[in-house]
Amino acid sequence: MNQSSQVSFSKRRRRNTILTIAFVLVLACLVAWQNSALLHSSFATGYLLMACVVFLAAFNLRKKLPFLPALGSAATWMQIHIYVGFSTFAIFAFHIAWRIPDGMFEITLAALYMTVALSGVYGLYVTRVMPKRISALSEEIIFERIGGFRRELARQAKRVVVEACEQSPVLANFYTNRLAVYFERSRGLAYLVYPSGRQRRQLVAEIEDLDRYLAEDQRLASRKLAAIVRKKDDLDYHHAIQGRLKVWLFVHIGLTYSLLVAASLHGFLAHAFAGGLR
Amino acid sequence: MKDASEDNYQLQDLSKGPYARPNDRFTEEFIVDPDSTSEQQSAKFRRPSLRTKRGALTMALTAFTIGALMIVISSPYSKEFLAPGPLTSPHARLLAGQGADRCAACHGAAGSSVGGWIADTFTAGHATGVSQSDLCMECHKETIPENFALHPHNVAPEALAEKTSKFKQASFSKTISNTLNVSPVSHSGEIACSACHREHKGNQDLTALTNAQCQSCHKENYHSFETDHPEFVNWPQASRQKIAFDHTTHVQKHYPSKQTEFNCSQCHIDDDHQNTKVLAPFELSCAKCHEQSIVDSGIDGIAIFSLPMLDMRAINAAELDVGTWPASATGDFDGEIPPVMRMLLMADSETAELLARLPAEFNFSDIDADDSQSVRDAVQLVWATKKLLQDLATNGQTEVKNRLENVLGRELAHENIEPLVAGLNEKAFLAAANRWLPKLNAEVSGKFAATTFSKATQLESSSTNNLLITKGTSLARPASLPKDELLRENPLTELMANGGNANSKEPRIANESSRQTRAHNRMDQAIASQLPHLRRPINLVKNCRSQRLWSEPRTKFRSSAKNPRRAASTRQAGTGMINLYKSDIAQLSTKTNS
Repeated sequence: MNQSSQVSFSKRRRRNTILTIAFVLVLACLVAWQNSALLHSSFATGYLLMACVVFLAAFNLRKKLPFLPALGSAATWMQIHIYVGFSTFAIFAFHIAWRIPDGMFEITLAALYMTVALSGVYGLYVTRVMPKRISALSEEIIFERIGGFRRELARQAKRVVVEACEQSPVLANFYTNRLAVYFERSRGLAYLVYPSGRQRRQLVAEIEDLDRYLAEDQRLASRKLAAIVRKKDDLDYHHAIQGRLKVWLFVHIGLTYSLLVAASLHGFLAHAFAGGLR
Repeated sequence: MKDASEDNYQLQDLSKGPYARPNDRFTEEFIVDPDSTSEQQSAKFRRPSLRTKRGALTMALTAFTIGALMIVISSPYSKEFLAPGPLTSPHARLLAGQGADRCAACHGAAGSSVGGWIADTFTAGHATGVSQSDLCMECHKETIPENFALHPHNVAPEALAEKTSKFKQASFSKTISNTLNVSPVSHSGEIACSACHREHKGNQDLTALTNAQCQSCHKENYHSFETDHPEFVNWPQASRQKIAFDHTTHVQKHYPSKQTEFNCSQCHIDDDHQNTKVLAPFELSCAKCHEQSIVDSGIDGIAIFSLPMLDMRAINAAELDVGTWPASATGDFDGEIPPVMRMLLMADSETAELLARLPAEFNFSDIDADDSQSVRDAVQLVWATKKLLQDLATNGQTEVKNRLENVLGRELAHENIEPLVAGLNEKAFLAAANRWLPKLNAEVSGKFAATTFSKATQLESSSTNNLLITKGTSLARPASLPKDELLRENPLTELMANGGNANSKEPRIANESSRQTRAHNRMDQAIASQLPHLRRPINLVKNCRSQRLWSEPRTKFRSSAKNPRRAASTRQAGTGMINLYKSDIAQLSTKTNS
């Protein structure tokens, strides 16, 4: 079953890729013909690019209308969204005639398009790669509940330390000096970009080094504390990986409508200032 | 006195139910209860979802974009921000001082408000009532006939009617263009300027078209425009000159200095058929200011061929060979290469490379006698000069024509070359070669054996008086100072003394210049009495003022101001540059023919 679905996925990808390449080739012929006929191909490619961007933006609306099955499944929309999105790179290149825009407004518009398009490519990459890394962890955690779990772990750690400090202040001092910041603060941007277990390993090693100063029952508490440290690191890892799956959409969708607004103004100006006989 | 609000503080803030504020879309279920456990507080706290945050960010960014664009469009810098790219240099210079209004020079919509832009877009430009092509013609009507400005190549439609049939049949292109409201072609076959000339792409060639674009009209005539079409040499008319006219300095400097109005139509005039603009002739366009200076510069004639002075000791020291050389042209390196001769020399690729490497104002006085490479360059130029003289003596006008065509890279029409070479024939150069370099043919044949053997044979057989070589002359001869006896008397002396033959084809020339000839003869006699070893040179000069032949031979001393020692030695030796005057050649030709 799994193998047959894999074959189906390969066939689908091959088919869509061929269709995309064929579309780009047809578009290249159209642009070449228009240029050789002294026509401004930038108008045709501009309209096509605008239509594609509007269609791509409609995917977000489609997700908000799940009760309309006549519009097609979200999975189908996703496939079309991906390959139409890739096609826009070629349309955009033909539209700007393979040269970097010179005008300030055109540079802004091109930067907007490239930001939206490249964020989409990045999103496609992370949605293909990151789920495998998340599923390799011990348990699944909902992204929105990570904050609550993090606070819960902080409370558990504090409780373990309080209970253990009746006989000796070693664990309490260690918590105050080393673990309080680890449990109460987020890991920072560097960890989000490149999450690693270096700090976890270092803290656990330091907890183990405390054994010589602890009684037997306190060592049991230190083991619990080490387990909580590992849990906290797993939570941070979830936050970093799942954050990648969430953040790109803030850029991709957030700038889409700005792109549409700027592109509409661009098209309007192109017509208003177009040279011609009239 | 306590604040009234403090009295009310307690209340639902410490209640055990959810907290809700009117018109607040978020409801907090967090219970602010000092007695509740932290677990209860945490579990009941609900924050806005990521989707909600993303929607808010999207709305904020969209609103920011709209606001920012509106601010920019309404600001004084809107033109700079909205311009799609820099203009070409000529347009940019012309519009540099017009500030924010410069867009209106080419775009009819630029003069109106945003509402006007909208109206212009949806009414296909009728709102402003002026097309961009009309605005182009506001400036270019001075150089392009207005009636045919929007027709291909600015030529009358009738003349191109047959050739444009393919383009007119391109109904698909018309449909597309009309649909997109950017029609480059009207129903009457006119083409918008912007169809071919695409602006706002920086400093590019605004007239450049690809082969495919040319073939959009010329498809019926040429299978491949790139390979089948002949070279664009004389279309629409041959350029008569290669003067790079600097419009800017004439407009800004020369015309104002003479308090004269700069008028484009003074130089760009209609042709006979009113089809194209052509350049006015020299008499109508340039003569008023430049004729006198040109006449003054050419009053002494233009040297066509010249032998430099050579430092034979330096050449011998470098173990190089130049063959025989006139004794009167030996001493220190000196002498310039006349521009005409320089151009003829450039027909030879190796010599052209050498001349390109040397300074533009090269003079043989620049040769460093102590530098073997510099001397080697001089020797190479000497052999190229000898070769040129031999070729000219062999082929005459044909050689001049061939060499000019080789340098220019194009064929010269008969009417173009004829005024340049009139009166120059191979017999004139034969006489010069005979007097200056008696062994020229043998030496050049020895030096360039493979390439000039046939010419040498031709020269030898065609020369009835055997002026250049004597049979049995060795082909290779080591460099040495020529003996005086090798230099024969000037073959033109007798001709000069007689003042020309009354029955010759050019009696007027001789008569007109007889006074000058006598003056020069007296000068030569005076010089010869003091410097008996001096040979009187002859010069080849073309007078550009009257287009007639100049008839006096002259001795031209050259003293180099930048090298006093060399100038002194030159004067002491009494030698001078040897030039060949065209008049001598003509008279010699007359004599030889008779």
